[in-house]
Amino acid sequence: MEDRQIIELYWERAEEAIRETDVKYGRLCWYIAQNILASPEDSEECVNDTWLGLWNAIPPQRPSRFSAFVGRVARNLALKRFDYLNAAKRSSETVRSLEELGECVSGRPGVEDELENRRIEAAIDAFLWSLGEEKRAVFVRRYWYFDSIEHICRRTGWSQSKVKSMLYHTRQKLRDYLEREGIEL
Amino acid sequence: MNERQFADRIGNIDDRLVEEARYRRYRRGGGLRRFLTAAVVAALMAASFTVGALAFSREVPVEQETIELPGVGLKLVLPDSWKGRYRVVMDEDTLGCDVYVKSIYEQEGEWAEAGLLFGVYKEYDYPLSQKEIDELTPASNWHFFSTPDATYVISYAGDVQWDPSDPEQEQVFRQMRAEIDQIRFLVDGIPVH
Repeated sequence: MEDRQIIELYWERAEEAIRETDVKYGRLCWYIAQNILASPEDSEECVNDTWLGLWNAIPPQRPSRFSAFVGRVARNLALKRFDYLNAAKRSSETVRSLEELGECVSGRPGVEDELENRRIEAAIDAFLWSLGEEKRAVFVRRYWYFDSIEHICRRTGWSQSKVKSMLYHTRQKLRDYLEREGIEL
Repeated sequence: MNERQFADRIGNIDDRLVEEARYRRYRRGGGLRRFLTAAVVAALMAASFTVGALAFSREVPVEQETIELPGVGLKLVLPDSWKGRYRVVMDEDTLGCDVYVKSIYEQEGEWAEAGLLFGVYKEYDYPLSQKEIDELTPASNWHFFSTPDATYVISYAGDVQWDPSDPEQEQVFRQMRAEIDQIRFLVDGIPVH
């Protein structure tokens, strides 16, 4: 079923919307959740929560890129669940990924400000679009989808040293870029 | 800002960035090299089906070079000429392995641990349909195949895997890469790819 048809089902409040979303994007959601949580049971619950989140979000929203929208809901829910899990249950891969991101920021909790957040996100967008396709894809796969380094190497055919080096330099450039934009890190 | 807040900001990047972040063919070098690599990969894929079909009824002699992946139920029968010339690096989670040219992988210096010929991994515990496989395979340097119980992926190196200043390394790599089509992939003794 086409994405726009599924979205229409949500707007009609038809429960078939969830079934169709599950058929089309259930695997994607599970993949993202599993990357973050490293637990099939938690990932399954996260996927179920994703359907509820979508049900509550549409309407009023009418996403133009449904797969990214669905994936984002799953990602956000998985990260929230990740926060609440005890340290022993944490996925070391997610911890590693977050630690890598820590190189770009000060580490001090910042004040949540909606406008500032939008500005930061726009700056990250602009930075990523300025990169070559390969570097951009690897960065997004690592820090949006939380793919492991091993998985990225397997998919690209590149060595670990190459992927790690690429990510390292991209993080350094991102930090420099955000600082130049006057963003407090 | 802490890293968790930063991860949230990255979570809200442009949807197009998210959708377009699919794995594609990533290669270095000029057009001719790209063309040749694509041709080799295409030849490998075409040849593998033929080899699989021809080899269906053969038994594997015990003295042949093999790689066993008991964690995923797969066995690779290698060309005899590979004896002593390859290096297997098992995946940490035992879902597959990478196979390298031994002399390149074990050298010292900048090109140490290069020489990747291919990797083979079990990706799913269930078979994907051809349509699902097509959707997953936008890159010509990795190739999925399904058995009744699982789906596997073979990924070929996407960039130069030898020291460019050493023509002997290139020759060895190209020769072994050309011989990949002689490899048989078996599940319970039956060729599957």
